[in-house]
Amino acid sequence: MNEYNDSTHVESSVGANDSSGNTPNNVKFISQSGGTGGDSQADWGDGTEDLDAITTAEATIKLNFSHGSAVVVSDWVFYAYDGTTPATAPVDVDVRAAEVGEANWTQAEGSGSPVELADGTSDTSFDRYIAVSLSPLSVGLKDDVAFRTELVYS
Amino acid sequence: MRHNVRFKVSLSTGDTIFEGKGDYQDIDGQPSPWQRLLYHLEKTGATITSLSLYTDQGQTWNLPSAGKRPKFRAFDAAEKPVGYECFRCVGRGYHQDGTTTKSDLFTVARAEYPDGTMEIWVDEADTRNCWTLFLKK
Repeated sequence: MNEYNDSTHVESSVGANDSSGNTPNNVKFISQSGGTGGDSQADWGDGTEDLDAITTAEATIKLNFSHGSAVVVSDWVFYAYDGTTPATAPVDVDVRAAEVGEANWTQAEGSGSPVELADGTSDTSFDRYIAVSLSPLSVGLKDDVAFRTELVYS
Repeated sequence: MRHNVRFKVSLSTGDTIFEGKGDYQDIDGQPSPWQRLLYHLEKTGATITSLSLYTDQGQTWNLPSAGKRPKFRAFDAAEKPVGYECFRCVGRGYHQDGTTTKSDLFTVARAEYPDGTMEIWVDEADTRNCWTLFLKK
């Protein structure tokens, strides 16, 4: 309780651990502003570092949007919610997320507090890399936690 | 990707453009129909005077027009939009058990006013699901 994740796993729809074939990198929240010049800090396996030192290969999640014809993307966001209502934050879970390159974590809980991802100029495929770290705020199973992404394209 | 709900615009030149028809078909690897329209407007100096959404089944959703010959006095007296835009909004959820929600995909027509915007959102999966949104600046 009140500690952030030390490992990250991929689970199948029937509850099997699929991590051996698809291991996501664990990124652990260390501090919100304890780094250089007020940067956030995290540990992704090399010890505590400034968050903006993380590379795309070290991020937790890669999001991809692709489209047949070339489009521009904007207003791309990522956040955690309770699995039912996007505007509702997960219950009793602290969720921190950041796009690779950002200096500080965002407490990305509910659609009103998303991580804002970079816009994209005309293309058919767009990748965004995100670090995510969670901490339970009370004892017990936390299954009312899901993630959602939204974007605009034209 | 072929959308069910597509844009139709009237231009200041008198031309009418339909997404999905003629030079504005959605072609893999090419700029999207809306991007091609923006290029055409920049190149010719034309402006959009009206924007609506349509389906092959004959459904239409119309924004207020910036044209000069509306049928009813209420439309003639109303403030005219100063700009138009069409875009899509997509969202998807990811659950701990590895499942994802069905993507929510809406086609949106936006009319811009000096102090805000008016948007019509139409659900690509069920066009009976339609919303109107007013946003103040």
